[in-house]
Amino acid sequence: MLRWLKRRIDGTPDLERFVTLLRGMSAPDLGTLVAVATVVRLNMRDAGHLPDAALDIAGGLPPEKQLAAQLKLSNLVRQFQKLGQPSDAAGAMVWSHSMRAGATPELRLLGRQMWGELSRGFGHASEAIEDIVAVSPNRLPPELSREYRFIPPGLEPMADAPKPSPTSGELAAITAAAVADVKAKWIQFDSQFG
Amino acid sequence: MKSDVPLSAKMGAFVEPITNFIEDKYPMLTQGPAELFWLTVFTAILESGTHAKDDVNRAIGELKKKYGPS
Repeated sequence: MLRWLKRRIDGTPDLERFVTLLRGMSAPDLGTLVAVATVVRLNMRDAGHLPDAALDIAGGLPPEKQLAAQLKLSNLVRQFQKLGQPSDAAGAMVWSHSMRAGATPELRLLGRQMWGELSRGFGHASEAIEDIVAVSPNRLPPELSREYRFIPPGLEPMADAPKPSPTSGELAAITAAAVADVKAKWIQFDSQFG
Repeated sequence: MKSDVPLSAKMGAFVEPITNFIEDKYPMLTQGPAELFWLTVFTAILESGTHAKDDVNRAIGELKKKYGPS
């Protein structure tokens, strides 16, 4: 009983599961998750429920406010789950787990691993934001496109081991993909000039 | 925006947002020699077919004069 209670309180299994889930996701899917999480955070921040200090290890929010923010996030996750909105629930979970990891030294490493996985999606988040803006019926926070690279202080991913240089074949494939993407963006950009 | 904007000016204006995009999505292309980045951008513009090859090459020349090493 006591062991179960401890596990429930420290959140280790939940966070481990979440990190495992993220590990299995592709970079574009992580980009979408990062974009959704950013929308959730900015909306909560604008509503006064999630000040930036709540996500800072050294933040200095009074414990009762920190707890209130944590409860608000947990409720939001449950609410999204009840409404059948798993993407929004996952977006809120990012901050819920971040707060737990920031507040619990034993979870810090897992928190940094979580952000290591999420940061794989940063390169795709701006496109995901464009998609969200296009379909969202609500006004979205204007700072959305500037804020998606936010990582809670203290949960920065650990530096990776140096990666080997790509082979010439890999470089050719990367360049070809980049040319295709840039071409699409140029056509869109050029069309604005009529 | 006006259609009489010179192609070199349009390409110059395109560089900033596309630099951010490439840094985000293809960081490897911004870590190597600058030529690789420019080659990617100019190849994409040429391949897009939005402007005649000669016009694009002329605009590249103008940008080189403006931004290239003296």
